[in-house]
Amino acid sequence: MVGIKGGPFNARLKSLRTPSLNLSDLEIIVGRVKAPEEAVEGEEPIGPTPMPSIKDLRYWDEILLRRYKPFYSPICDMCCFCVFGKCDLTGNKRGVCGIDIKAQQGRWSLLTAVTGLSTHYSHAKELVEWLIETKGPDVPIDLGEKTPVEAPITRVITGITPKKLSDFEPVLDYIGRQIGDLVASIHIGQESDAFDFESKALHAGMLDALSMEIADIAQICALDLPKGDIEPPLVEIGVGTVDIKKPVILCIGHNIAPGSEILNYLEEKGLADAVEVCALCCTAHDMSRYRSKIAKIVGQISMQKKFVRSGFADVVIIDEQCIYTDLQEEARKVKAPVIVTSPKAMRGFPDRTNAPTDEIVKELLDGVPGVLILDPEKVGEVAVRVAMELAPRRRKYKELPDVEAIIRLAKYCKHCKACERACPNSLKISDAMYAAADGDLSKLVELEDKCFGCGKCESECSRDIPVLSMIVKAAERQLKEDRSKIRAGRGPITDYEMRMVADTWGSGITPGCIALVGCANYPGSDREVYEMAKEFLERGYIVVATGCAAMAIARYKDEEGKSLYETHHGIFDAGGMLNIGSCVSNSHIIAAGIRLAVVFSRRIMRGNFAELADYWLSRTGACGIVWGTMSQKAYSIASACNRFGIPVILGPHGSKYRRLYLGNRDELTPMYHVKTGERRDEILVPEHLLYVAESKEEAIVTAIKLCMRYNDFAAGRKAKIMHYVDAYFKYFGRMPEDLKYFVRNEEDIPSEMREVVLEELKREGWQPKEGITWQELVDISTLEKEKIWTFEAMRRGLRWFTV
Amino acid sequence: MISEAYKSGNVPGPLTAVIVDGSIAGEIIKNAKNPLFVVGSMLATEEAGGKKLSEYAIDIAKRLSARGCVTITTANAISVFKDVKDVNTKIMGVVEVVDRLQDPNWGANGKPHDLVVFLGIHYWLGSQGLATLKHFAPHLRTLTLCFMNHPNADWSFPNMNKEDWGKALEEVIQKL
Repeated sequence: MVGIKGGPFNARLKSLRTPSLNLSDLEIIVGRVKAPEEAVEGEEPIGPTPMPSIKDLRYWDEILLRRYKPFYSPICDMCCFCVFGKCDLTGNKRGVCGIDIKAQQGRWSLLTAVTGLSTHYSHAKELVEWLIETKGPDVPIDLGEKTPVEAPITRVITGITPKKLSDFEPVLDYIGRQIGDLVASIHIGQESDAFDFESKALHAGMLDALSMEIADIAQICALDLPKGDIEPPLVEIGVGTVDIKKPVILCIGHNIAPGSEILNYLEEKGLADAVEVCALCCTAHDMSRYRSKIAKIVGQISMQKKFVRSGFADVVIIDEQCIYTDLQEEARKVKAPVIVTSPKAMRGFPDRTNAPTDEIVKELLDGVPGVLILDPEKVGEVAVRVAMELAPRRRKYKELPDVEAIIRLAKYCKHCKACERACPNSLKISDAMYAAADGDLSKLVELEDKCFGCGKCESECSRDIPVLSMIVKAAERQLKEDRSKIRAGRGPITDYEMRMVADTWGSGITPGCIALVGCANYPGSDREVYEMAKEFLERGYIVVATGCAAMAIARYKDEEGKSLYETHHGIFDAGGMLNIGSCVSNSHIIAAGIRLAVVFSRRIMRGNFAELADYWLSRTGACGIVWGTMSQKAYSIASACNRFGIPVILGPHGSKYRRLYLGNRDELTPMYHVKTGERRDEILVPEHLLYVAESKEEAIVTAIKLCMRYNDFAAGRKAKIMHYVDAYFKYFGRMPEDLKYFVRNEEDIPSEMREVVLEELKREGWQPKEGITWQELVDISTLEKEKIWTFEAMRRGLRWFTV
Repeated sequence: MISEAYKSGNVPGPLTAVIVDGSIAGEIIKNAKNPLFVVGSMLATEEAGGKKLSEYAIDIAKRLSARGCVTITTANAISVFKDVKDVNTKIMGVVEVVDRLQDPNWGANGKPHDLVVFLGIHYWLGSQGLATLKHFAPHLRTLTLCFMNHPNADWSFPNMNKEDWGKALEEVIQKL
């Protein structure tokens, strides 16, 4: 008998032939006989929670929320959800139905998260159905040889290993069923406990990660988008990159289908050089991933009204998500026809999906303001034909006032400051008006960089002063010179890269991965996002970005005129500046931690959510920063990160989401030895799970802190402490007051600042913790022993094949 | 006195701030047993009455420190206290200090507080922090010294221009 000390032994024979026996696929496990359902060739065993229901991961949420208690800040003291009320819930009052203010905030939390989830789910479903229809159900789910684990989140949550496009259909069905249960919980007289609302909000977040992964992998595989390229093509970004002498088609939103068909039509007809195709928001990311040489990126959501109002676009294509709901009115003012393309955003336009193409083109050329077309291929042809015919006719349509008009309008301002009070960021519009009235437009120009472009200032103005148009006109030259470069969204982090970075990231020596993601509702200039990225790159962090944030980073250049995408490498490693892609590409950031767990620690993925989330929380240094948070999707993405154990920092507007998850470093938290089961109470690291920072400086310092992990090796913790102290001095001019919570013993103290750190620690009454070994750090978890499925599987003699 | 919230959409519910002037605000702080002064990022950028907002904040913080009170600086507000002596400051995030204040036994100087005074915090973040305290810290009263009316506070200045704001802050200081 063969024996292996320290663990079970499995052997498999493909065939065994003797004169009297002819066996195939014989598998032997020393210790016991393996049941046939326990292993499928080449696949991992299924973990404890495949396709979890809304109750199945409640135990994990308890672990999270015991450590990071929900912090509520109601934005409304009332509940007007049913006709029992309207009810005042101030303080400890209850509504007629019995709900209290905390549970009501939890309900809002769930409602916000499930709205974001539903948006990504619907997007993914629509995309998969369209791709199956146009490319077939058997498109292989293949992200290349460097990424053998094709869909980590799908594996972790559902246990399914998708091989072809149609394999996502049962996953989408599962999400759809879960959404039904989640929404039902919001109904009056159902859920009543804040914790359970939060558990469901986290469930919604987790499903959001799954939806995003499906959407992005489906489009990557079916449309041949970059598959984890470390050097994806550089794409032009900025208003100034658009050649307005050509007919201009502008696509806005978050769905590649209509945009890709426009590009296809141009290529088929040989018109790629004759028509300018540009886009805003995530559609821009995805179109540039599809055809990097043709599609141009104008910018973020903040450019929507500014660009449309400029009159540059001859046709405006609206797909879905995060598009100003009055944008068609803006387009109407400059006589640019609108084509809406999603059943979720039909915007009152007539459905012409089944009308002959020639007829639709004629209608739009004759002045019909817009149509609904739910056939992406037809959108492609109509958009191009209308743009080409209309462009020469609408050169005169410019909504922007001239400089003399700006001065005249500024003199008309009565400085009531209604605009400033209406502005989400209280921009100093009145001061700019005073200056403009004197002929100095510089303050209006300065506002452009900080202006989100919502136009709320105009709707509040009793004198109908077109404030936004004045800002855009004043900054016209800067906008026309606004051109830079961004790497096309690369998609997944590869398993190959993870192998390369596993040792340094897994141990903490590469101090963390900073994910700059989310919307463009920045509290100040979007330059702050660029400055954050630059700082973390200089400190040797891995910086990944998606969506609007990825674009904000690209807008600013160094003295040589290069963006951070041009000056830094694109590898998932220290000092890398990666554009992952659109919102749905956020899933690859979450997946990176799963890949690390597999590559570095050979953890089982399939149906094994809690263990993988524990791995993120305890071991993998990362922090998301959603500096311009605005949408429900941003909330559900943050909830996704949180359930996976990834801390997130929101910009100040994030406080209006009503809920954070804050830790208290003075309270110890239970940790467990994965082998002995021993419990020990430890200081909480990372300190918070969902936090709001008030300033860029606070966000930087806090992100460094939130990249610390319980399992940091000494060399890793040392590097993190060094950055924390250094950044604290840089921005706050003093030593951190909370250093004693993070320095475990003298091995964690960076040698170059040893004396000052020790002095501070001494002042705070710090006591070193003795006896921390590498092996001990590896073996400590937030989960109790029996919840660690990988070790349980080993104990049961199950084996698996991963990368 | 009735005053509309600075952000007209910020209408939280039936309980809204009582509007006070600088003199009354100063009396409220003076009469509190252990007030906590919380100052934010706008200290570095705002002006009032022709002076930097930070000058008023430092003056108030010094007077409170003389009573053994603590000033919490949020975000990067600590930068304006650099080289300032005789001020007892601590650095915390707004949400961190508000979170702790829900505990009636917690005190930045080791003793429970009875009054929290906000100045210079990002409007919405300040408003949300005050909402948390309104609902979940009934043991506390809250006062804001910003030029923007905050309905979630117990006491707030009305919306005012920068000149009047400077005068109101001077009145506060005179009372301390």
